[in-house]
Amino acid sequence: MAIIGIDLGTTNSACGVWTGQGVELISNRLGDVLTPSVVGVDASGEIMVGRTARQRLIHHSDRTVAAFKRLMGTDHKITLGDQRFSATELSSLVLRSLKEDAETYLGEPVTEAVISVPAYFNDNQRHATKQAAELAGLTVRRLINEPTAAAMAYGLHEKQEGLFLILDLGGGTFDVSLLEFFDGVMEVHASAGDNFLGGEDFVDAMIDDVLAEHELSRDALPASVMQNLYLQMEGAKRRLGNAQTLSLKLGDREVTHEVTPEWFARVVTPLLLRVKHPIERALRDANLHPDKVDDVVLVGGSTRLALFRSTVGKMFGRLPSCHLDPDTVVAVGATIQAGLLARGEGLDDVVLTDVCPYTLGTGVINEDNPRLGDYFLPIIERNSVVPISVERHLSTASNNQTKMKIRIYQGENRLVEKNVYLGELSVTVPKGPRGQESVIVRYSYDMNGLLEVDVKVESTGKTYYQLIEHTPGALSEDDKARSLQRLAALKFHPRDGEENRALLARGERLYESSLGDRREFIADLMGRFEQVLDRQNPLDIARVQKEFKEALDSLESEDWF
Amino acid sequence: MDPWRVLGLEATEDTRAVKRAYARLLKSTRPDEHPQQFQALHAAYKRALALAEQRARTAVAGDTEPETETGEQTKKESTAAETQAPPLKTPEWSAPVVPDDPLVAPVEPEPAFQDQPPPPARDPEPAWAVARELEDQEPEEDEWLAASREHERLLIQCQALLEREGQPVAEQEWRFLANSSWMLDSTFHHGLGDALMARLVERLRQQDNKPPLDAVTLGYLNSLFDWEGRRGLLAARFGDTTMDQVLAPLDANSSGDQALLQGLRGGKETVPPSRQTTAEPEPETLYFTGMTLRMAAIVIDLLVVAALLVMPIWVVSIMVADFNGTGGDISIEAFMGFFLVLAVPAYLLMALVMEAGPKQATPGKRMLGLRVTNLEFQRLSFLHNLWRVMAFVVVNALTSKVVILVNLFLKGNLLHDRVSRSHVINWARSQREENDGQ
Repeated sequence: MAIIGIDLGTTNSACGVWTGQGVELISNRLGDVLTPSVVGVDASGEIMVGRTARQRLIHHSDRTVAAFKRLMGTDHKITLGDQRFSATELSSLVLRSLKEDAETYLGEPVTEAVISVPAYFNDNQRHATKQAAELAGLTVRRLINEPTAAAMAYGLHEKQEGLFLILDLGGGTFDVSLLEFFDGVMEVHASAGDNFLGGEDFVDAMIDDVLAEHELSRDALPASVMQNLYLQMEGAKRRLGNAQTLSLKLGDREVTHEVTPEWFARVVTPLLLRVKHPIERALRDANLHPDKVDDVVLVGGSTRLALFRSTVGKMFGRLPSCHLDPDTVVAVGATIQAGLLARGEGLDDVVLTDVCPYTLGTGVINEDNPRLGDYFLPIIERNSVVPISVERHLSTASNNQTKMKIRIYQGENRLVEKNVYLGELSVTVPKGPRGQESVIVRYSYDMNGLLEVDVKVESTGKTYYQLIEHTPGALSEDDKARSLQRLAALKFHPRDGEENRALLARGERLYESSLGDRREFIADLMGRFEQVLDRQNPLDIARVQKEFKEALDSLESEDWF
Repeated sequence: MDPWRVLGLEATEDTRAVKRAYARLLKSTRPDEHPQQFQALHAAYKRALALAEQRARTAVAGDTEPETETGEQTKKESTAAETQAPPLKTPEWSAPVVPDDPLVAPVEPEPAFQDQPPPPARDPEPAWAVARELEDQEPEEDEWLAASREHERLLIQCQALLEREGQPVAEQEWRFLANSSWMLDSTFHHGLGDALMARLVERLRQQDNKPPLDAVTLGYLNSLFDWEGRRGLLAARFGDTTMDQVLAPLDANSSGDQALLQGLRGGKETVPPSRQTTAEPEPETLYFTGMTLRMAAIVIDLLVVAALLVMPIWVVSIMVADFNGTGGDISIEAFMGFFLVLAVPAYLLMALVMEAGPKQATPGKRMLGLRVTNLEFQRLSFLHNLWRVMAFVVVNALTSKVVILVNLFLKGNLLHDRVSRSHVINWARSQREENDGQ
């Protein structure tokens, strides 16, 4: 049975399968390789995923949601219509849609997958991703880091050896990986990144600047106005080459705004500076000079920004490469990894070694300055090669202490509270003077980037073992069963006719954003199309569908996405 | 362990050979299949690579010591490598960047990554010279001058903001920094960040170690200059304590969820996670509850029970009276009889359920901030609490007057508490004292 490779992105998702000759990306029900990571609920409570849902983002923004990958690994819930979802559940709906597409394409059930995650995703976020897959009926064979996946695709494509810096600027996350390729070994030297930096932030910066100019705040504008503004800015960002004048509707005001490359550069400078920090850190961690890097590879849709390219170009004194489609390269890499796991034919024997991108440790008493809070004691240092298992001895801090609480954290700050809390473990120790009793804490970090912690009390020999529990955003076994039941009860739009629904959703969006004659014309078109759909004659539908699509295309000469 | 033996190689200076040997062995020691052997192999590979580079360097330096393959020789080398291998923590920008003379270029055209094991030959080209190559602009001299002028101009503006008296400086007023087109130049950007930090340190000293910037402003400037990420390097220059003092507001400021939610598109509303579990820290010292409070708690509890019981009893007694055919008239005695028969068991039942419940207290105890715990100050199990309630009944029913007298001298650790190995803790007081103590 095939293992599929999935890129579960902030903005778009894609999947593929290894066929023996190479990677075959799987088209979804609408014939697209990219499925927008957008989930919506329609008036009758049915779920839709992908392009149809995205068309509804403006006018049904209370029933549609995008970019929820940012909330992975948190306890936030999102309300759509009258239902409430966690980011994990929303991701599982996207995964389920991809799984169905793959099953249709392959003509057999698909139960195993390799899923890519941002290298800088923390343990909570990785667990959440794994659980999303389980909810969608997929077993995760491997979580692969996105830049590593991109590098695999690139390395196999170019058949080139050397040291590469992969920059992956996606919709919501930015990852940097420094990778060496030699003799069938792919060695990641260092990874760094920023979980809250991506194309969406560039658009946010543009919006914030416009709103600040007109002394408005986000909260003051209705959701649909914000969505519209967002789409206009997103469009403007994609056409930055020449100056454009946008007419924006801000509540009851109509304003014009000049979008020039200079304005854009000024607005996003702080973000570009944030792009540089992880790059510098990765090089510093690997102890390498920028000159040693043989090639800089750009991945992710947002690396199309000319300003991003020139900034990186200046850092390295050369122009970066981009021979592969930045939108699908991660999916291609994940699929190659799936092929390797299945020991697929036609794949050279490639071994991948990866690193743990952040430091993992625990809290210890800060005796110098108790007011500051406990110190962070690193146990696994960042950029150690994985899988890795490290032991540390910790002893009691006060006399007659009977319990030790091992709190598990991830991060780089020396104050433990400033790091990401992953969970905790309580152990009982025999009474004794301070410092006499000690425990061995062992952290094990596996190839998927998941952490296990076990604690052994030295004097009694009792071992406490746990995969981290009580993590934010994670589901317990009960929660999972309940969530599965709830998701199973959801109704989905049937697969057939998805194309028609996507067209109608698009028509509706155009109708609502037009006025006057144009509006009537669209209503007329939609009415006729619906009549034909009702008659259920496939030949007629195919013909009218084409006409309807062309009419919409001409109305909207410039597609906004 | 000798890395050369692990790799099956003779000691060599050929890094390519080391890599080839590692690649060959890795194929049979895959990280996902043999994690431990893989760690050993990887460690040996890294060691061998460092040793090979070291050998190559000494060979180049003309240090032609005869290479004998004795164990001692290898050992000596490996210790040398050990002192060499770990990444050195020298600051990137250890050169003093603060300009005393405005005309002296504040930015040093040095490569940003100086901490290389082989000290790299000085990169003669500053970053803006490379930029010039890419964009084909003016000659280097002018670029250099323009950069230092811009650096100076921005620093003067910063200084003015820092020294402004009266009106506090808002975060927005610092936005001019990001508007400079020079900010995207690595060398310029690092130089300016370090120079501004030097000004902040100076300001800190003038103001008796009071942090010169508030959390919001500092957060913004940190997002521009990554002081947090470069803390180690800055501390090497300004000292650990100084950096702690300047960046203190950043440490105190916890990262909010706001940034997280801003990126989300659509959705009717987001429901934030409920935070309840770990919110309350346990006080260091816990106090027993005195007799007065204990008695008061019981009185409140009995009142609660009475309030809850009076109505049903009244209804029941009317029904009983009706049944007996005595009409609506019920005697006070009958009423009290019912009450006593029901009230005491009701109180005991309530104590049994609630003291082992999540609040660890009956309503009366809860009102007064008391908590029932076991000897480890944890919540009682129901079985343990059953024991406690039985102890309460037995001890108090036997010799009530004597018990009360004895209890008065037990400082809150009463007889039935001792018998049932449980405590009643005055949680409210413990927390109060804890907060006062800080």
